[in-house]
Amino acid sequence: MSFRPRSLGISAAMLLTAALAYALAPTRQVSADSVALERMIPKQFGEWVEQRAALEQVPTQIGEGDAESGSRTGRTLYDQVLMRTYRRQSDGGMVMLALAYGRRQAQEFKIHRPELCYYSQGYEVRFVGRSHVALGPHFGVDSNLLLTRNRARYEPVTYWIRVGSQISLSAWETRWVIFKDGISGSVPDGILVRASSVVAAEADSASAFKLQKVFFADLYNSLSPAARAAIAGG
Amino acid sequence: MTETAPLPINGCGRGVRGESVQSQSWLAWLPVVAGVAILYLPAYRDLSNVSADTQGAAQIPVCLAIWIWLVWQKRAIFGIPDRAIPVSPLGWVLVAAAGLLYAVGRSQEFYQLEIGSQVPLFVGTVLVLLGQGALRRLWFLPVFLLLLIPVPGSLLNDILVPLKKVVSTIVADGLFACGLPIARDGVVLYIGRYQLLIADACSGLNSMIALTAIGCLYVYLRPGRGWLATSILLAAVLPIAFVANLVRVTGLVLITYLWGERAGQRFHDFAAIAEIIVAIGTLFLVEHAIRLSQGDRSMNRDVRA
Repeated sequence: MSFRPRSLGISAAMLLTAALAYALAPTRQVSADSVALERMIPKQFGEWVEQRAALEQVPTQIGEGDAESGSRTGRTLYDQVLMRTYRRQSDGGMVMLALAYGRRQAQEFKIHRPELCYYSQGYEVRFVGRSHVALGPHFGVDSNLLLTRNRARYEPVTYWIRVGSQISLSAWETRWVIFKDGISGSVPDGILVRASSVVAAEADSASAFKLQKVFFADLYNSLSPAARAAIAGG
Repeated sequence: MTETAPLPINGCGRGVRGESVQSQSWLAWLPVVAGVAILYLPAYRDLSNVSADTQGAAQIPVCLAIWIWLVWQKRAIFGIPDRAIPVSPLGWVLVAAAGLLYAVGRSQEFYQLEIGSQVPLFVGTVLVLLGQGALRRLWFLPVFLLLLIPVPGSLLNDILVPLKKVVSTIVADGLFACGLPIARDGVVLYIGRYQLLIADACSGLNSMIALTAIGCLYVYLRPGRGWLATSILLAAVLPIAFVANLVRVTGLVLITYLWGERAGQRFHDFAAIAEIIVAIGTLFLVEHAIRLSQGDRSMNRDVRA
């Protein structure tokens, strides 16, 4: 016969490979109605009240083209985005909150980190450090602190990203969690939790970071268990 | 092209019977090619769908076309010989390893593993069907396949953001030294009455990988130099890709300054081709400079070799 056994063997190995890839694909995913940000995040809690005239915020994704490409492939980067500006009644302190939730995280299709979103909007971004945010007496998460600047507008940012059941502070951590969960059969969801404030000078950034921490603790304190799990995994 | 080997190597001078053996040996590739199509057509389709988001895949269409052309150039070596080839356990191990890489990569949307599996698959298949001698003559093909692996978006960002800063600083300082009204504040360039975002102006830096691939190909396709000249040329590929990008960003800034923002945007489309021409031209000049500086000595060595 004209087909050699060895070349048939190699093509058989390739068919087996295709089947194995199919079998290994993760199938479990978070149900569509498990997170509803608009309902879960109160407009008023503790001393904080949502401002009617919201401050303009940096988007949670890089560029505008991404949303289009997402819809072309039948996939959107985020299922829900919530952006609000809160004001503390006692002293007028303002914090902008941005939440971006995606139900299916993938290696090359996952939550955009604020570093790059701010950068692509023309902000200069400086990484200040990592900081623990105490959300309750026995619970807290690690966060990244950024100092961004667009001409005269200084904007200190505190953020973290939850992927599956873990908090991730770098793209590589996120990739590892997605891979680990995927191999064990499930597609993790993910959420970006970002707070920022506009200040007049770099020197004011320390107090802004402090205010953002208080804001997160107050917010967490007012949330239902499901909402707590959604934003901080616990 | 110096290595265009004549097509029917193993059919040579065997008359009619030899030719029929020849055609059989090509048919034996059919199951393999079908398998490759089943595995990698969906892989490249998915990759092109997400590549708007992951610009690390920008080099793939160019490199894939070049790779297929290279295979065509080497087609004589792919004729499966009549004589028995020693069984290659290593070849089968590589085929199996490629299968594992592919299955994990495809199921987890891990494109680097999925596309990268082509390298062990190619090496393994050549070892099993053609033997070690053929692999030695085809070594450049699996190496070139490495260039098809998409760069992870996160790695690209880690490299590109600082690189963009360097490029914009050089361009701004250079044009300022030439007396143009240009200033840089953070990640924004101001020239005349226009302002340019560095992120947009430098977006073409993603083509660095494609340029590097084309440079390596150029070095490979022009043999007949000493190893010293080859390694100098190889070392020059990355800096040349960088310089080509500097030229592109400078061109973009100047065109925006002279003819307005719309002209600058239109230049974006043309810029990629201009960049490749600049890169190849520079490589050509570097090669000539090496020739000249080495003088007759190396020419003689080349002739003897």
